[in-house]
Amino acid sequence: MQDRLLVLRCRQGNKEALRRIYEKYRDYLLILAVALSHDVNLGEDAVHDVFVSFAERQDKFELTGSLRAYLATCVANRTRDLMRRRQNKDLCLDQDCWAVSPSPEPGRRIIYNEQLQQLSSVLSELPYEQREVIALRIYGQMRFRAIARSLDVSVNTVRGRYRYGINKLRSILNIEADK
Amino acid sequence: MRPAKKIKKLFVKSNVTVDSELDDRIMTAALLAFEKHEKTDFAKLQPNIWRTIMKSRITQFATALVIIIAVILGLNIIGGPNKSGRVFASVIQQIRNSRTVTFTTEVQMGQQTVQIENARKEPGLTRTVMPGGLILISDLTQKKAISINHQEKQYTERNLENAPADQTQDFFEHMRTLPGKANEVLTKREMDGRMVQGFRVIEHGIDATFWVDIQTGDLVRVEGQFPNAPNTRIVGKDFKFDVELDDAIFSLTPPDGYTSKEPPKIDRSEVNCQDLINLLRWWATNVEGGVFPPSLEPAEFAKVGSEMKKEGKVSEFGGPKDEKMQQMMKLTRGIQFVMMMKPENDWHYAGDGVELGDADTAICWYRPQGSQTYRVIYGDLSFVKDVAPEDLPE
Repeated sequence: MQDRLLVLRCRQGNKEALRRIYEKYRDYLLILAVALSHDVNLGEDAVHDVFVSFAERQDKFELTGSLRAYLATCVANRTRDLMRRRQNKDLCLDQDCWAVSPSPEPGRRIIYNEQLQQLSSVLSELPYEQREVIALRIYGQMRFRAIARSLDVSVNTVRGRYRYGINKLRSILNIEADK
Repeated sequence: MRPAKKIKKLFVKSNVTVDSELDDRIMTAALLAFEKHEKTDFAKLQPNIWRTIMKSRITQFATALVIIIAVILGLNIIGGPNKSGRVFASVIQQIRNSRTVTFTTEVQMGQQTVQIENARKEPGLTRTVMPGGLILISDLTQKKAISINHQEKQYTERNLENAPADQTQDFFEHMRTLPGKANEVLTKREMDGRMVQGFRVIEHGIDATFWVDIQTGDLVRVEGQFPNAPNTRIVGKDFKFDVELDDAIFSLTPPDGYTSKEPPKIDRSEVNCQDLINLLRWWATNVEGGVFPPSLEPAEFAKVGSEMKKEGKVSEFGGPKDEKMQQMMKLTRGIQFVMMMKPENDWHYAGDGVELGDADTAICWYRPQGSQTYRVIYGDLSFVKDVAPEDLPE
């Protein structure tokens, strides 16, 4: 209910409500974006674009379900778009793009902990479609039906991606455990 | 560990520390975009009753006929429904735009009614006078509050910095969030010597009726009901908008000679099934009879509990007063769990007369959100998850 009230206040032009939504979901969405993209800068950009778009669309926005799930889906979609765009430009996608460390680097606006780095690294072994479904299901706590609706694919497709992704993760995590 | 669990664990333990520069970058861009969007034009808001009326074929025909006749006769009747809409929109606008307001709230729970006096002044000052002389004052801009108990000459100061929304949004604040259009326009009637029109709004789980003086457009009364507490009704009345209110009545300074009292530590974690089990166990253990309560409907539960207490059939909480308060507050979490049940949870309670320890009798069951199966609690307070609907007790 609190989210519904915040969204309604946003529609009424209340900037404080927008700020509260940002503060409430910022970390959650950044973790999601970085876990999906395995790229700090891209993750920041995805969250930035989603919030700007959210603010822009307030006059048309109607909250029919969970705001958390809605924002998570937006971030997943935007992350995908940015990654495709970057692939088209043939930019570097390997591990060197990841420049996080638990200790702060000069100029870095965000510090990510070791678990997020590990998570992102593991998920990067999967195709994006599988990564996305796994993240929305496990982290976003979304049901398969809701994920299917938001990605505009069938429920069976979503279930399939999840199953294949989990199977692949099993072997990745076993390999890591053996190391 | 299963891969899904491992991934979940990594997500849970993931953490980010964000520089203010990123926050500034994102919020600046978002606020810029925000200011550009066309805010809902309040003056254009109309009631949706016209749409409701036009759904009926009979009224479509009748309405068309009336319009034709009106055009022929040169009458202007189109203002009818819109005029009501403007009246209601005007009331909501007044609620939203008022700089100060005083009003009385009556909270009716079962047979009991509690009357509360309220005063508000922008920005963010509220004063509430509860029965028994307890006064609550909050300043949302300073994010501070004080409660003053004149009977015991005590006060408690609180920091509202991280207070959840339910602590900073009261009945009036909820009214401010309602849309400027009513779901239903009710029949006119007389109320307190005035002819009033009712406007019913159902939004965000609140069902509220606004009674507006037809002559003056003044808000006479607001009646609200919450679906999760069907026996609780809130009535707002005696509204006075934009009256002079002295800042002194909102002062957070404790009165001279009063002693400070620590606020009770409130468990703010999400209520869950275990809280209900704790409540049930407490009742069956501490209330004479050794059986579960006859009802978990909040008003009925409170009424029965109160009667049992008067008859000396309830064991007292041990320890000092603050500890007793903590124990009581823990128990209310069980009732909160029940109050959270929605129709789709298909909640059932059948514990009346069942003894604690009766492992064969189900005392309550419900369907958790999004689940196809039920959770059932038995008389020995064990519970079984994932019970199919066809396997539920009758």
